[in-house]
Amino acid sequence: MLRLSRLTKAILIAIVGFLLIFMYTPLFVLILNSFNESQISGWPIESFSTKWWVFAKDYQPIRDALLNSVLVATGAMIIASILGTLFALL
Amino acid sequence: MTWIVGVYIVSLFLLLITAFWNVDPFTSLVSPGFNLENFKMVLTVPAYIATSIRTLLIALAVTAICIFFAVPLGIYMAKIAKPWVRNLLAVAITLPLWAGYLVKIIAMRLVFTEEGFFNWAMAPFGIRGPGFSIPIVILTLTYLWFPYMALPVYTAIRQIPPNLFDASSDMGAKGFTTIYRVVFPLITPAVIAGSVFTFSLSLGDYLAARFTGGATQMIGSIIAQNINLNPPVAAAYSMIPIFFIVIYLMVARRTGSLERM
Repeated sequence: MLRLSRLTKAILIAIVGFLLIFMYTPLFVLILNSFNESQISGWPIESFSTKWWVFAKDYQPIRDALLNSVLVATGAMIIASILGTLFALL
Repeated sequence: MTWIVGVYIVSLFLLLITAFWNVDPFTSLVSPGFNLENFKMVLTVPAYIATSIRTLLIALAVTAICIFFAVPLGIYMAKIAKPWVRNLLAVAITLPLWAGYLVKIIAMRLVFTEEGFFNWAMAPFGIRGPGFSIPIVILTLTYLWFPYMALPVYTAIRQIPPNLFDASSDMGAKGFTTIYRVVFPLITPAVIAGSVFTFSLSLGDYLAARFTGGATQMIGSIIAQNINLNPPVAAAYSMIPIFFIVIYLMVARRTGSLERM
């Protein structure tokens, strides 16, 4: 097994911890901002509300866009699977 | 196969042809023809040269940072962490790949904006973020492409047989020497394979620069600006990143690491 000193292990753990913070802070901030009452995004968020989620649920262009995304993704998936399989058979 | 040729090769070829076309300076009308003016412009106008070099340096910096963090992460995951920690980390590293690309860019924008999370969190230490600039573009691109580096490096470290470490320590090598003399040479192919992704994806990106770079321009930003105004120049300019990537792939090929991808 790879033997490392305590200090080296501590440094490795610190780097891993830093990476996880770096990777998840932006997503966390983004998700919390979707519950922000105010229209301008910012930090810390002023007050909690599900206003924008309700807005997104009822707003027709967003619903259309969601449907289009699903259709495009399905189409791309089907074509890519077929082409990928054919390519592998060659 | 014909499909692949049709879709990829023909469209690239059309792009190359367009690069030689003429554009009327007054009406912006494009007419087929053959001239080298567009290439001359791309290779001699200082703003274009500066942008090419800036983009190249950004892509190299992103690759370097990814390597710098992927190696310790890989060593920790593969050789030190308990199995459940390892599996958890593997999921944690891959999970952001399923978050949308634009979503992640906007998330970085929210963190580093003037009134954003970073300035808020660092205020007690008297640190202020640099605002939207090249360092933030580099960070954003690192954030976007890091899993492409971390996963091959982790896999490579995991495949190193444990008895190599025993042998190394029997020969009297300490932990660091083992990492430097045994682990590094064995994972070089994986690092190069990962760097092909981080490098080429960073080179072609322009949305990160647009949303988190302030006034920073990359090759992609200039191509996107010209694509309606002056398609031949955009086409000629798009040959620059292709050229960089071809050079990079040729160098990577010489090391023999592409066969293992």
